[in-house]
Amino acid sequence: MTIEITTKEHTIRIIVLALNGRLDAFEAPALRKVCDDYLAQQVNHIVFDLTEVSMLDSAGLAVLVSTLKRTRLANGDVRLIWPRAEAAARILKLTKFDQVFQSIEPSQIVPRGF
Amino acid sequence: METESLVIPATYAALRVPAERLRKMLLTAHIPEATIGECELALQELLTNLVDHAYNGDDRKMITVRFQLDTQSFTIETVDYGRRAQLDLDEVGMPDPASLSEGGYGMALIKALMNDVRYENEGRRNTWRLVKLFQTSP
Repeated sequence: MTIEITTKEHTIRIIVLALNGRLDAFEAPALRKVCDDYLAQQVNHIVFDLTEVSMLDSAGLAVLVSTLKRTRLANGDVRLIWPRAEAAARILKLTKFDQVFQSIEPSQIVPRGF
Repeated sequence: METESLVIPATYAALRVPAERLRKMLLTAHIPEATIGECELALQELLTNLVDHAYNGDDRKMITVRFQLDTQSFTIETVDYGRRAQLDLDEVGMPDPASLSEGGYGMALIKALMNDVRYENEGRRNTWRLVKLFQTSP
């Protein structure tokens, strides 16, 4: 009698989008396009690395929220690496999205990020 | 008292010009970075609202932006000739984050960041006036 071995491999694609500069109404459409492209490829686990984001406004926030909603609909999620600049972190606190998005340290992306 | 005035086209790209002027003016006056950041975000949200809602993305339209700085306060005033704002400032509140709404934050942020927010409409002229008092919390 021989043993039957069935192998199942689960691969999760995690995309880390490291942003540098202002994420405002002018730049938000470019980020939305990048997110759209990954979501179309069934990438449903996205990390926004906001470490070097100098300023974040509600248009930029809308892209993060939109991506969060769409990944969750596909059983995925979004994680944030917190911005260094207070000017970028302020909007996340004022809107209380710091309680909605799970923030992680860069070292947590793999394997504990998801 | 120090004042500065500029006129910009109603485009997202042009919004950086007044933001840079604001930052330079307040940095020169040694205003704390946290306060500068709050004023900059309020300005950004107001101007984005004007581009989107007053002028509905018409990049041929112009917005006048004025800054006034004194020892007690910083005032941002804008003038546009676009669509009249249809909102009750007293009723504006931050959306529930659990709703994952993608919009509706701009004016609520402005109210949270600034000490006084006023809107006036006279004929086709719309005037927004945002005031930040120094050394107090909004």
